Amino acid sequence: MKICLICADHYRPLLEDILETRGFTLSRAATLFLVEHSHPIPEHGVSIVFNQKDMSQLLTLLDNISLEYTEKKKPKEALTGHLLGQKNDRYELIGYQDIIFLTTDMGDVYLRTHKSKDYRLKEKLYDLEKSLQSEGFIRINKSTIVNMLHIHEIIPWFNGRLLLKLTNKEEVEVSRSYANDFKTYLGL
Amino acid sequence: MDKLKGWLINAVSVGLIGFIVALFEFFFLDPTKDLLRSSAIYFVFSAVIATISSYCYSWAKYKGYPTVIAYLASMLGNGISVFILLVIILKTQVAYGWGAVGWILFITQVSGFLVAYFENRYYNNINRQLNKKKDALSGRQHE
Repeated sequence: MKICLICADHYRPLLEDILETRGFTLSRAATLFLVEHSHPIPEHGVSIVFNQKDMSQLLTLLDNISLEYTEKKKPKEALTGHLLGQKNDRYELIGYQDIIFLTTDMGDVYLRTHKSKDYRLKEKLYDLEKSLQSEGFIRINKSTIVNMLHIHEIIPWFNGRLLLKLTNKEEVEVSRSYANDFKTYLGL
Repeated sequence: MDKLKGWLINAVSVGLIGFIVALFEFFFLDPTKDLLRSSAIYFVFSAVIATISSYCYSWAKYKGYPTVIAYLASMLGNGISVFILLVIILKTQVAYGWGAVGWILFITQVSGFLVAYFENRYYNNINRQLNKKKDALSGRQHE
């Protein structure tokens, strides 16, 4: 943040140091001014007038401005690693690692966790398939996406299909049309 | 419908092995044989051997039995189905005697064993790959 300092010369080195350590850049072109009491206040921009006898208030103010500025500059981190699921009237964040599989039923998308809870999701299965692929989720049939980490065992099943035994004791089938993609994903 | 289609594709693909055996027999061993009849018989035999052996292996693994039991289930299922085919449908014992039935059963048991062997290799391979993938994914999550 740019700031212009207007003060007595003997205070200048100390104040410059205080400002620079708090992330301020000294510039004559700044619109924010730090003006020592009894010095002329610029007509434009915003001026903070301080009294050299009470520097603690100024330091607190500078700290607050600096903190707020750095917080604002930080890129907002997206909420990754979670899906927002609805159960009854409540919304809950469910971590990817807790999701066993996602499935569709009557056009709605649900996810199942270890606690056998089904949460309704707003996203479409097709969108989830794309966004979760890099997280270890894979589509296994028209209506199911499974978390690889929750597959306990794969059994070669009838007619080129595969049966997945999951960590929650449930079983899901990889259909013929998705079996090849599934095997490729495994590196076979 | 999809399941039936899948089953047919599977049966036809493995049955074709029997058809090739029939062609080989006709052209190189016994040209006097009825090619159409022997093709049909061998087709059915190979489809039965491969399908039943594979199904029995998968079923045993699904039930959580050890590999040895899966092999035995595969050979037993195969033996019973071929026996029914030979004795009840084709009446081989009447035409060629019980000795021929025994030999055919022996050959089909060897084939059934081979099918189970390859199924077992596939099962081990796919589960090994699964564990590798899971290790890679969980390692990435802990980073």
